[in-house]
Amino acid sequence: MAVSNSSTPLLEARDLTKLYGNVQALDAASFTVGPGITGLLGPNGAGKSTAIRIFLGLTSATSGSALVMGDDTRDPYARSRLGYMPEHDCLPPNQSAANFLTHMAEVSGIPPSRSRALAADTLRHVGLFEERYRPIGGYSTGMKQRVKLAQALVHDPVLILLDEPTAGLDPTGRTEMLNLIRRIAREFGISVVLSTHLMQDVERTCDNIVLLDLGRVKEASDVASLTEETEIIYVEVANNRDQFTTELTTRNVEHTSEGVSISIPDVDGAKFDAVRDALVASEARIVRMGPRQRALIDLFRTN
Amino acid sequence: MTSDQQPERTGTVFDIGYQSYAGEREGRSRAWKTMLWDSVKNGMGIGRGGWAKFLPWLVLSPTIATGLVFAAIGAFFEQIGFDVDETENGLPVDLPGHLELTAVISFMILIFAAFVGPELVCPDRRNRVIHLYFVRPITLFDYLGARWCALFILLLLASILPHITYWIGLLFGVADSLGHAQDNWLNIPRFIGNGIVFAIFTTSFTIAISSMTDRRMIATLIIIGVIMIASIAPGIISIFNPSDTVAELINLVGLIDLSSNVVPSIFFDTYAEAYDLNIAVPIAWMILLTGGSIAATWRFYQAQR
Repeated sequence: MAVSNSSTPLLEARDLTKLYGNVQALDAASFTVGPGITGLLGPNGAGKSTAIRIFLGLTSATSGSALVMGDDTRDPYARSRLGYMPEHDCLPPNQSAANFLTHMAEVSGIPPSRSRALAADTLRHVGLFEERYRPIGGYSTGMKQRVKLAQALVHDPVLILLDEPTAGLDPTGRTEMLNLIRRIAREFGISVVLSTHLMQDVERTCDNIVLLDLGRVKEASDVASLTEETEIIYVEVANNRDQFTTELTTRNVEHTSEGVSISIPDVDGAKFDAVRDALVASEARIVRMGPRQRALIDLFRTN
Repeated sequence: MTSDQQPERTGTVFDIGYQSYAGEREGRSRAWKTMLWDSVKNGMGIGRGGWAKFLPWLVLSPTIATGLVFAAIGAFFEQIGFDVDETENGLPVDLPGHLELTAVISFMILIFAAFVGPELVCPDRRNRVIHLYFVRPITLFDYLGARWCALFILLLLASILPHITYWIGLLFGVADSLGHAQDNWLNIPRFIGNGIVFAIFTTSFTIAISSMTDRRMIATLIIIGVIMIASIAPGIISIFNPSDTVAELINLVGLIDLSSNVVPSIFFDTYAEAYDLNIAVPIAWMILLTGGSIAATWRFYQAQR
């Protein structure tokens, strides 16, 4: 058992490779996950779920190593410090949420005398305290997602791994779930790995991302640096759009149309003046104008 | 009441927020004990709805009732002047003993196992709760071990409780209780030993079949079907008049006969009178069936992970 300290990453993948027959799910992926909320991002088939299954000890890597707080993933002690919320249904319909969570707390090693209180507390934190004695089978999709999240939290883990936690939720439910995930990290002090293919979820929630594509790590960075302002400005006009673009062309200002807005790259002082002059000359009314922030979706567009 | 009349506030409710758990963590041992106790409760329907309680007790009650009936028959003959411990002293009928009781209750316990075994392992896979167990500090060995031990305990109790009822019942029914206890004490290790072997075999066999499907009722029907077909098959083959030894070998396929007659006769020391086949053959067959069932269960779960 390794002694965890502040320098030990919560999760560490070293040249992690996983083959399912001829299919390569992970290809020498190396990354670390530290405290806070980390998004494990990638399209379907990128290797996100495989990586999570390896860290949970549910499957073993073909080669490379995966460590949980410095311990081997097959070590039961390592698993006792993790929580997992799967994407698929995993709840017994005939049991009440209170009984189910109590049982799961005990299976996580918590003594029975404390398990019931922990279960009730956790259900209160996820907003299901009043409904805790109802059979889970009668819950809505949003409530079931909360029970799934609660069972991952009930034993007070150091890190929870959430697999597509907003799947199947309506916009309100999705916002509530993402707020809850933020609260877990900020108020409860439990780190989160959020596996999703929804970039907006990651942008709204995560501090760091690990982007996987075809089993390889394409990007691993903090979200702030990936969504910083760029030297591209966008201009959205209410009228005379064609005249405006003609004036830009006349002034040799490179530009591209993106939906309702016009993007102008590599803007410096002189180019900015030319844009201003083109707007005046075309008598176009500005709706919006400003530097464009990078979006995580750009990561998929590049390379 | 107007706002002027409202009592003065004397307290404030604080939300103390999330409290980290700083208590003891008992790890795998707690997980294992929880799984075991949960399985025992599930098997008997404790903490569940009426129907979940009804089925196991419906099947289990007759076994205990049979023990009581056997004791009542013995006590009745005592009351009308016969000594049940002196079977050669003028008893008008051969009174049934522990061997006969085993033969009667074995079938009922097999049916009990067919209902309870699938209940312990099928819903976890059907509801996919099993994934939540394996990300906690228990291993596949712990999980299957706890489920196996729970069913073993239930089947062992179902096997020996009727015998205990019979043994104690007759103790109260006979005139010379102390003499009866002295004459019959050897039956206790015999029915316990037989119960252990029967429970090990039936538990392994039931869990192996239940592992093949996540539907409880289908698993129950398959278990009952296998028991029935295996028990009918030797009868069909006997039409071709095989030799005694071959017939006895084929009879071992019949799970009801194996568990209600062949194995108990080994424990109650009547095997040599009843069968020509070397005693090592049924013992080896039981070990093979049990070991095969355990190996099949393990491989199935390993493949599913």
